Amino acid sequence: ASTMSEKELLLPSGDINKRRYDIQHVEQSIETLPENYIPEGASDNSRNRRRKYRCDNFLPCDPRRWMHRFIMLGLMCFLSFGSYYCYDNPASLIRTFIEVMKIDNTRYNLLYSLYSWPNVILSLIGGVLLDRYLGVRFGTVVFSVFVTFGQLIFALGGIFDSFILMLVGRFVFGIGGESLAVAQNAYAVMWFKGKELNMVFGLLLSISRVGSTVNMNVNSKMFDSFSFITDQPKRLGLVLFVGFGWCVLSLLAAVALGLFDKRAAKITKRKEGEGERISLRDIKDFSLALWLVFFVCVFYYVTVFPFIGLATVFLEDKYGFPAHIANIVNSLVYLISAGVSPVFGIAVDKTGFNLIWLNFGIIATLGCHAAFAFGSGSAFIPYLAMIGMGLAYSILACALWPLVAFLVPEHQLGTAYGIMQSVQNLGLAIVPLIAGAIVDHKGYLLLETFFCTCLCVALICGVLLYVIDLTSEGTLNLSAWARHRLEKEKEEKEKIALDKNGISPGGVSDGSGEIPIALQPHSAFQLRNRLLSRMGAQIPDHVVRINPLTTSFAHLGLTK
Amino acid sequence: MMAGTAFGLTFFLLCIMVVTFANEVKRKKCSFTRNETEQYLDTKRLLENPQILFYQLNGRNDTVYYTWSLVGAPTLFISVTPASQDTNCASVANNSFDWDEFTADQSYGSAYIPGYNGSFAFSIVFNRLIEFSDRKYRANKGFEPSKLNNNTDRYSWLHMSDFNWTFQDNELTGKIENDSTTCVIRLNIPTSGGRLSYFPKTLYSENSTTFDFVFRNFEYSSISKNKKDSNLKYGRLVLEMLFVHGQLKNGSVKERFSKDDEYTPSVFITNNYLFGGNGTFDGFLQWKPISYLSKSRKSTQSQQANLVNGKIGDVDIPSSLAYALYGIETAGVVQPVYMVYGTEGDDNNPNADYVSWTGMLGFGEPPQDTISIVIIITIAVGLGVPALLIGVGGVYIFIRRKPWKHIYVWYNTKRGYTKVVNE
Repeated sequence: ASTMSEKELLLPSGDINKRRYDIQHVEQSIETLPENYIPEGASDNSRNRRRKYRCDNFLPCDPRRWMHRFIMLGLMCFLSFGSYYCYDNPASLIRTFIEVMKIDNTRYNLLYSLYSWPNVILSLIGGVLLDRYLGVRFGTVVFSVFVTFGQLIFALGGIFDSFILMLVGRFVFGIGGESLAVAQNAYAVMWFKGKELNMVFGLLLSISRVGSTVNMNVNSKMFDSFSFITDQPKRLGLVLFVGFGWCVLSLLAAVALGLFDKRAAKITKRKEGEGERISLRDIKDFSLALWLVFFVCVFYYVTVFPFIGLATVFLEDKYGFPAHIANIVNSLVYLISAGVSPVFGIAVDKTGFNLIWLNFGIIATLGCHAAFAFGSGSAFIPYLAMIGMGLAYSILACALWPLVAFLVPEHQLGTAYGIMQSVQNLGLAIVPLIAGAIVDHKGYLLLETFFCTCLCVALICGVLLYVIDLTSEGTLNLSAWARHRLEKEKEEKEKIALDKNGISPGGVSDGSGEIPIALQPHSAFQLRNRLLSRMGAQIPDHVVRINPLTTSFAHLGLTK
Repeated sequence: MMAGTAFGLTFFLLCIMVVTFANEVKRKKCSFTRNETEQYLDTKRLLENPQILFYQLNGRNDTVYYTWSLVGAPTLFISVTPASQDTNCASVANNSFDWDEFTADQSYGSAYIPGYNGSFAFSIVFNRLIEFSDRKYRANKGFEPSKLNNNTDRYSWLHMSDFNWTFQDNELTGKIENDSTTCVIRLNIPTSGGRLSYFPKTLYSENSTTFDFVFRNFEYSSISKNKKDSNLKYGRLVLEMLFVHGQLKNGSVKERFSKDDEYTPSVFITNNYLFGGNGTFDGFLQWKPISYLSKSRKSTQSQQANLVNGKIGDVDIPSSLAYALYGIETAGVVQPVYMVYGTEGDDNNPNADYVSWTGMLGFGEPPQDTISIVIIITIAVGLGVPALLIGVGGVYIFIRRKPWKHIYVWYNTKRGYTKVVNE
């Protein structure tokens, strides 16, 4: 069983909206084979010879050894590179899209909105699909296929000068995009749990952001260099086909990962984990603090991604930047995020005070948008503001996503993160359309004012969160040392309870039938939650069958 | 009762504010239009082949005259005089022209509009509509006025005097025989300050007039097309204007940056051609550097409009109202300028069939956009509420923690009840 807490899982975090996997339910066991392990049916001499020259015994081929693990890491990095490269294709060529396809900002932002709409639902069920129905290997390939074909349809929309086809392509692309990131996380946990997991998450995020940055800086020049193609839509389509090429490489990486993982599972006799649990009934038990976290998430992120989608033209119009400089400046947010997210993750880890970091991140982003809104046309302002936004975005991500783990019990984490991502995607689906309409009719100052307003709402929620936490003596804003001390005290209390009452550390009675003193249930539902969260509790069949959402427990071997 | 009184007071104050800040008519306008056969005061009927559109605006301190002449090259003339009591602009107009001479050949001296030799008088002659072959897509940076007359491979033009005009509802519509090119000029002669209802929603004052040019279906010649590849197009339109000053000094272009693009989305610059005079009046030609490419006037379908200066004296005054007023000898400065429509590097919108441009001519300080009240209120509320929350929350937390509050326990002693402080 894992010894890592959710906090360790999530930090250093960077863009944690891609990180959601309940490691509690994955038993990593890259177990060692016995030293004298011999395949069946082999003779002694031939066995010895075969043992000596087995591929498994070589460092790069042995799934138990570090080199093979890092080869797998390389494939994992490639897995989402194509997705991240293609996600911001529109932003890197915004003016080209608008002029060539003859659309306005509102229709342009449909390219981002349609990416997010399927993820409003898929955020909730993507993990369940991976764990229960598709499996991680097959699921990864399926989602990668969606990404690849989505980008293909998107590129064909350019070739055939059809904006509708482009929209269809983005929708298909969106079906696979976010879920592919979940699959990537699943692989990371399977291969690196108990080892270099934090570093891996940080690296995966960084590589993904490199993909975004490369896209921002290359596509515009690529379009100009294809000037031998005089038909503008075809030229645009060809540039988008380059992204399709990256997606094909990612698909090949997905296939390779699946094959290698299957081989490793066979060799190491890995046990399958229990997987994601989503129960929408848990929503009614979410606290006000958790809902405030959701609101902070949605009202913050809608000021970052939709802004990046429109920023290139804004920088050209207000600051007079040439197109390639505007793209470079626009990519600074991702570039900074790729570099500093691990650093800020460690900082938040070491210091604690998540809410202070959170509110600081919101205020810093507010300052950046205010600079864009009310600053003069001086060229240094966008550089400073974009760098500031990258830093603030990284800080907030490191501070925000772990809060969920502090507020809900472990077995509700899947649901909570699913709802959080679902709400976030809903915001990212709606706000780009609003932003596009504002730019078309009222200009960029009002757009920035709109973003500042959203950040003010996020700040209000952040401040409320702080007040609630302070008045209810919550644990969201504890220092790292205080949190560590709290954990220790909890462990000691449970130990004392065990010694006194013969109660197991999980709080389940040894059989006396009495309610353990360590538990202080408020309701039957909360009692059930506490029992479930202590691992090992079993749910009676009749309880399982009442609610179809929880029938997954039956499949996971939790019923009697 | 208190609520009713408060409501009533608020309503009363609002009414006062509305009455105070409502658009106050600052000038009284009289308009006179004339063609070969008819002349009208304040007419809305269709006028074929108009010759003169004459506007007299009487204010408290001065009187402004705007004159559009469609005889010869279209010309807009503005002059300012001390306040006039004469409200019959028809008689003023008839006294300002020798119609026979003016309509015949616009000879020098055939027009003498009040104020034309005063401290402020200024005219713009819209001389030529030039087709410019921009093969490298450099727009205004690739336009060379000095080579205009020598390089027929890159430049060709129409004379604006070749258009046949009609006038109705403040709109001049010009067409050329055997050519699909149409020019529409939308006029605005305001009596008080305001803002245009269409993009670029120029802010104007009672001391200015706006005009909006739209060139449609321009027939681009072979210089604007690639013979081998029909997808390749190079044509840009350029409007040649002549600034004919009287006593005014030379002008210069000044760029003004504004943070607010609310009224002209994605445009943060306002250009002013400013000039001073010997008297108290200064003048300006103001425009936003944007030219719309469709009737919907979206910023996503637009291109830049940039001014390129020509060399003073390179272009003679054509037959026009400006010549009739100043001739050659007393013309003073004749500054050719070229409004080039196109964006550098933009190879998507050459040979455009809809090109618009809006300008404003006036005297005094050019109007300046400020940040709207909507934005100020939004920011104030957006930042004020969290600040209030932080303040109230901080006080609430401070009170709740009760660091200073003591619990008093009273107990009975020999001396009576005694208070014991217990924290």
